[in-house]
Amino acid sequence: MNKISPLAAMEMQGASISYNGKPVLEGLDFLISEKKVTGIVGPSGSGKSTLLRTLCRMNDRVPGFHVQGRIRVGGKDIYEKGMDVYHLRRKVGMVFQSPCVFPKSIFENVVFALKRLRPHLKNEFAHIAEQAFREVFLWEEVKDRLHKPASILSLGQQQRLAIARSLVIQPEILLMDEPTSSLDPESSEAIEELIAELKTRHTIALVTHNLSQAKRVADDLIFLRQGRIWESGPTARMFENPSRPETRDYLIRRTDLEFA
Amino acid sequence: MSQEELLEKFVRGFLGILSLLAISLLLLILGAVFWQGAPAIDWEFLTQASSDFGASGGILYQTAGTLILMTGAVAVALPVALGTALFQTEYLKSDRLKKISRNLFYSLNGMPTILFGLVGYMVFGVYLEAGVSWLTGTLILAVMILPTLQVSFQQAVEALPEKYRDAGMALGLSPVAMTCSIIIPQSLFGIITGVLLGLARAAGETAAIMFTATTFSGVLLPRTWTDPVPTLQTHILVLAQEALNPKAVAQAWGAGLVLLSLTFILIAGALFCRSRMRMESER
Repeated sequence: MNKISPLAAMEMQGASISYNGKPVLEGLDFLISEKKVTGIVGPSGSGKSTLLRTLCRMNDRVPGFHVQGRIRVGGKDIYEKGMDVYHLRRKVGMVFQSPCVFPKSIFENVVFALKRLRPHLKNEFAHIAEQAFREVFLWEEVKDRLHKPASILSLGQQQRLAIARSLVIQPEILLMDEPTSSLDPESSEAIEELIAELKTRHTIALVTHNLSQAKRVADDLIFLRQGRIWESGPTARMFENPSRPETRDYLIRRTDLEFA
Repeated sequence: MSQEELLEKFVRGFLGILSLLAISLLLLILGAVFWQGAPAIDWEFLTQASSDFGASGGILYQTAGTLILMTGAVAVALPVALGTALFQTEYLKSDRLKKISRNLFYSLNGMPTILFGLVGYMVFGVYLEAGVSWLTGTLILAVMILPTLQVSFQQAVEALPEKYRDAGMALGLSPVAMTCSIIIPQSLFGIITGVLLGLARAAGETAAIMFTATTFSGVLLPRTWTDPVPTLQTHILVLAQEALNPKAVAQAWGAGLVLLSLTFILIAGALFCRSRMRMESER
């Protein structure tokens, strides 16, 4: 048995992910450290989202989806028999590419999961909601219209609302799947600031195709290419001194293009 | 003009004539029912019992009987259809089983209704001893509209944007919690559409209930589980056969118009809900 690093919030050991018998990702070995932002980057179709969704078993419903090897969250193998997958997903929250708010009021959206999972806290909902809104820097913008439909918010606000909705059930880990790719630059910046703030209390795995964003917010980086982890390590090192030429090619040339 | 263009023109014209024919037939029927039925309809016609074997009086109890059978059938079929639809969309994993059950429901939907009446009467009427009664009729109609409801419920649930499901799953909702707080509320308009279509189908049905649930005269509202009821459908059929009595025929047209309006209202409601559903899913 390999020793589990006490600082690893999530890890994979010799894991592979296949779909209908066809491998999507193979030879996955990595650690995601506690209270850090780990960026997952790579060309389109390299399996970034699949990797992320595997970490909270979001692909369980997908027919033909299969995982092998060890995938641990908090030291526990999450694909083992008897794993409480609902409990896992409450511990590992997920934020998606296009913000998804339910056609309900702003307040109802944020307490959505609480109503189902912690109904005994009913009297504290208002308080919990306020805290969550403050945590995502949304309180000032919504405090006077909590009972208006959530669809009146801008996309950037909706994304922060979606993050607040995950936060109320106190996840330890947040998985973010290109959370800014459908937002304008200003809203993206707000989300990036929010991520920097959230990592003081949460472990974050962030899939992004925006390499300058990865450079700004990620502490560690995992570079996926051709169905495997091509290279991984601290972000600064990966950008300054990558050990493989393809990494250099992808990270540095692409970043330059973004700024051009 | 080239030969190809000529052919195009011919085909377009031919298809146009065909659809014009279909539409005008439909309008003819609607127009005839309205034209012939409208004079019979007044307040008394809607609120009085029929007398003189239907040749005079109103159709109050016939309307009541039709409504009882319709709502009873939906009340019975709704939970079963919703349960089946949710089982297939939320719990059933095998694609093959899904396909088989979907085809089964589609074929059931197209089965001649007289067969539902026959088998239903043997089971409910004879074997379970409910006889010719509103209960037998309700159960037969329930079985008959079950596939209609099931198919439209399933379509509504499957049309639900995947992002809602993802969001609910990511919040750690169990399938039960997900069904109650996301699936059903978000596909509510689709479910209502299904119910209205089911009601409309039950309202239009004559054959299956003709000899299993209704009698023509001598009954008003049911007092026990095994009483038969009069219905608009049977009323129309019997009166229409008395072609020599113009008064009876006029009453039949009137009852026909009432039945048609009932169905029309239900279908209009279904269309309204369907457009609302589309709006919701595009948000």
